[in-house]
Amino acid sequence: MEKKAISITIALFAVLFQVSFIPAFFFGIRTPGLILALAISWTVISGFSEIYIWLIFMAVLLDIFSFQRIGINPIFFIAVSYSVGFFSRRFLLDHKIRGILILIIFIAASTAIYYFSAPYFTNLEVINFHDLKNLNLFYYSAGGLIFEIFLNSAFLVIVYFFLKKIENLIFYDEKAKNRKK
Amino acid sequence: MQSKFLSTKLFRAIVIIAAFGLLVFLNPYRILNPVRSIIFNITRPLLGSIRFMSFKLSEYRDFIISIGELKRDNEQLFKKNQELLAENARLKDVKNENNLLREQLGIIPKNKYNLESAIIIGQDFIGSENWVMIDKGDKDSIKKDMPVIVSNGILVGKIKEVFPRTSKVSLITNPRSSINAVVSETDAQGIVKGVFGLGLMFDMVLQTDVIKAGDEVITSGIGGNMPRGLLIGKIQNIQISNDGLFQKASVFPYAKFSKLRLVFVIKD
Repeated sequence: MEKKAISITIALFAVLFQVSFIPAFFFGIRTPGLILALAISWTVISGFSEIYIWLIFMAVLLDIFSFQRIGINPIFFIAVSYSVGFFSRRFLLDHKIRGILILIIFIAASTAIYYFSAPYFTNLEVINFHDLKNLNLFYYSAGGLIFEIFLNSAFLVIVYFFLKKIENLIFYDEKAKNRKK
Repeated sequence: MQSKFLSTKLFRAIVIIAAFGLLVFLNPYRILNPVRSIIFNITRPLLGSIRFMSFKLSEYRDFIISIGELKRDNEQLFKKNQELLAENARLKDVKNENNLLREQLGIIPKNKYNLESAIIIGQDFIGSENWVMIDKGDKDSIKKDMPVIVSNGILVGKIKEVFPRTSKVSLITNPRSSINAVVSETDAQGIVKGVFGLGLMFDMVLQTDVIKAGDEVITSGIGGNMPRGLLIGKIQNIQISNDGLFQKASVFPYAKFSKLRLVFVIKD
């Protein structure tokens, strides 16, 4: 029950921060994907089966807050989480450096997929580069993408250690309760 | 064997993706609007507080970054102050002239709008900053297509969707946004379009019309609820359109979208 309450709080606040805090704080540069970082690190820590419900909850909320078709974010995050879960069981546990490398590859690949498909999610027009030659193109340049991958990787590290800390707290709390019994 | 597959993670993932895929295909956007309204109502105070926190932190971040530049800025500001004192005297004259011209052109004075103040509580997070969410909605008599400005008459966008206590504002940089505009100096008419959330383009200007870099672009007041005279931006670079029939120019917007916190909706 306690774990459920903590999970729902994390999921809700992550979405609110993604919608309200992050775009304002990182305005003018690429907007990092807190939910993406959370989805990957949560899957590595708890496994796909444990968290897919919370992922759906977060992703549907994201769709609602972004005024777009309901279902786009759940499909993306479930696919990412399943893939991370699939590979993490095979590669992450036995080798730390290889594990970190795989996580970075995952965040880079997911960021790139989201980056290139976002204009279609939001039904935006395809960029007319002729019109844009006088404007700030960092947003849609390779530099912008690399910067976003860097930001998302930084978020992944922060979120991973935050979740790990919370999980340890719950785990020790449950262990202490069991000992009392 | 079959029942074993049905309990696997892969099967679960496929079912979820298929279910949401169907939902995307059916797109029950309007049907889900009551759910949206409830969620926006519940989270509105939280969103407002989180955004306020974000602005405070951004201010600290900007302050820390600017510490090294303070001395140089101070000297520049002193010089600028002297220049502004002279400019101020000149502008008092211009103001009187401006009021007279506004009267003649039928532009509503900026302080005559029926304004509803609103705080921005959410923003496009996909990356192109095409919309913001404000904390006023149907219950505050906000209607679709009402113009949204910042305090000094600078156009920010238009109301796109209205919920009971929140509204979605489509920014002028949105690629779907198009606003009838004129160049205040020469009265050259055209359409200001958003360019992929990155900037503005003043398009469809006749070849015979005169536009030059630095000219001010304002709303023309033609069509919709948009009054004449709202400031949009300054013309930067002028080009000939691809078909060679019109002129077009990139426009530097006056609105500082990164600093938007309080906006005003023009109700009539």
